[in-house]
Amino acid sequence: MIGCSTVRRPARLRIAAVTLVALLVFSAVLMLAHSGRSAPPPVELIAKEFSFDPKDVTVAGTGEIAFLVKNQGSIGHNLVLEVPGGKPVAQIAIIEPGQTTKVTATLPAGIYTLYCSLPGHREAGMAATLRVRP
Amino acid sequence: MRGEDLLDEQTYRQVRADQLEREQAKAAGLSRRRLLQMLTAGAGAAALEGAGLRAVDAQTAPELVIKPTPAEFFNDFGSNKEMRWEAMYSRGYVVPNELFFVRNHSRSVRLEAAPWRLRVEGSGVSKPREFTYDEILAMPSVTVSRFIECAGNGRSFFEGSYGKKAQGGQWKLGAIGVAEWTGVPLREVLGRVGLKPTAQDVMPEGLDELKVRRPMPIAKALADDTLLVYAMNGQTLPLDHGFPLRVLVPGWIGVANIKWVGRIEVSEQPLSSAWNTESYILIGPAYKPNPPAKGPALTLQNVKSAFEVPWDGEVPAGRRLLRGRSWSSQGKIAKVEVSLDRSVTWREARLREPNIGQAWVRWDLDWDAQPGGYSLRARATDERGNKQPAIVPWNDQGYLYGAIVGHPVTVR
Repeated sequence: MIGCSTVRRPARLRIAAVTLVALLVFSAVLMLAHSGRSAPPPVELIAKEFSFDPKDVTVAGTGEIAFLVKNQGSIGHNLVLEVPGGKPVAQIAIIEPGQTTKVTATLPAGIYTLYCSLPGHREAGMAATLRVRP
Repeated sequence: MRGEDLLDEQTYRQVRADQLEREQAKAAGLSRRRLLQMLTAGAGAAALEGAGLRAVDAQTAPELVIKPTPAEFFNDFGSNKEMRWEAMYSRGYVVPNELFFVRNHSRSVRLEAAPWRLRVEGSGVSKPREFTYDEILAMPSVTVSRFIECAGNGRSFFEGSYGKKAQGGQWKLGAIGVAEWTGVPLREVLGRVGLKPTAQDVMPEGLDELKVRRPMPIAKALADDTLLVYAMNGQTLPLDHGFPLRVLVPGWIGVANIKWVGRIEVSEQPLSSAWNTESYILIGPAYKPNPPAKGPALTLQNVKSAFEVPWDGEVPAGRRLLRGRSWSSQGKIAKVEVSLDRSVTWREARLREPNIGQAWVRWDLDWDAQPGGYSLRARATDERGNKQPAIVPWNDQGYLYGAIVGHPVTVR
């Protein structure tokens, strides 16, 4: 049967393989530590009739960004995060009054729009700008 | 187009969607097919979404709804208040103003009659002008009994049928009311602003924070019973119901009946708003996208029935009259059948006059109620043969739940 035979590797090859694995593990630990340092803090937004607060948010550091949206209003709202050009990249379908809901998105540097897509809400002022800097 | 066929909203939206596509394609220098491809892929949707909308200053007011809405009579959904059906037991034909359900997209507006104006303008009129409250009151008026019903009435029952909640307020069946509406036919007002024969669409707009607006074809705007209403059940129109003036668009979904109307646009071009392209449309496996809308716009309201009995409540054992009401947007109710044994057998209920199309009919049935748990069911058929089905297709926003509903009740 193919794949069932055992082949003895030369000693030099074994040493090289062990070294390579050790290097890979070390790099992974370094990368994890690095990503932990630069992960941007969550973006906290207050939704109410009919605005988001803050209206302009800047995040330093790309990668996965968490958004915590609290509805301090009296009626339901939602959240759509749009890239320039109008494509939604993250959304929260509904946030009931009093609720806080979280959504995450992995974003490269750029300028994005956040808004509530319920009819009329964006036009009444429920929009904010998100700037992600490298 | 002034064809009578446009009185059906589905036909109306399809005709307008086709026109809009052609015009947008022409303006963008694209073929209609290419534009459709772009819209389906999402590109350009954002540009269309906000077209014609304008920002307004946010106002703050302490209450979402102004009138008292005690738990005895209403289920509370924040800015929306659902009538509890047992409140209608043994009452008359209309729903009293204090019991009438409230559906607001934001909060009720407090307006005063003296400074208020109705502005009628747009490419479809040759003499745009403003009307004062007194000028409206001085015009010929009519009084009609009609229902106004939220498009999402019955939404909560989608969960029982499909195991998941549809988006929006989880109404049972109390997002409807029939009232005697008094007002000026919209055509009287349109006749005073030089309505052009080329006018196509009419879009009333509210003075609420969101400027809620939704178009209708000129044929519907000129109908005998499409009114600008200033009185409800013989009383001045209450604040929560649109004072000083609201629109009555019989048979159409609730959002068409714009409250606190302050502007009416009459256009030679097709009109649309977020309330007929983003919401109040049918999105689901059974429905195809209808660009620029994500799905077909809602048609007329459908046939529904409700019992005047507490929901999941108790009634005493013994002989009693089981009462309810049924309604249809397409005419009078011809027959109502009731099942007390989970759809095994059905008995015909007695219909009680008046029986008015686009309003409702009251009905009753003798019931020797024996102790136990029941799932009361009613199914109505209107004069056109439209009958309540056992199930309706899923749609994400939970509109038009016209299927038979099992009403839980315990007899003790």
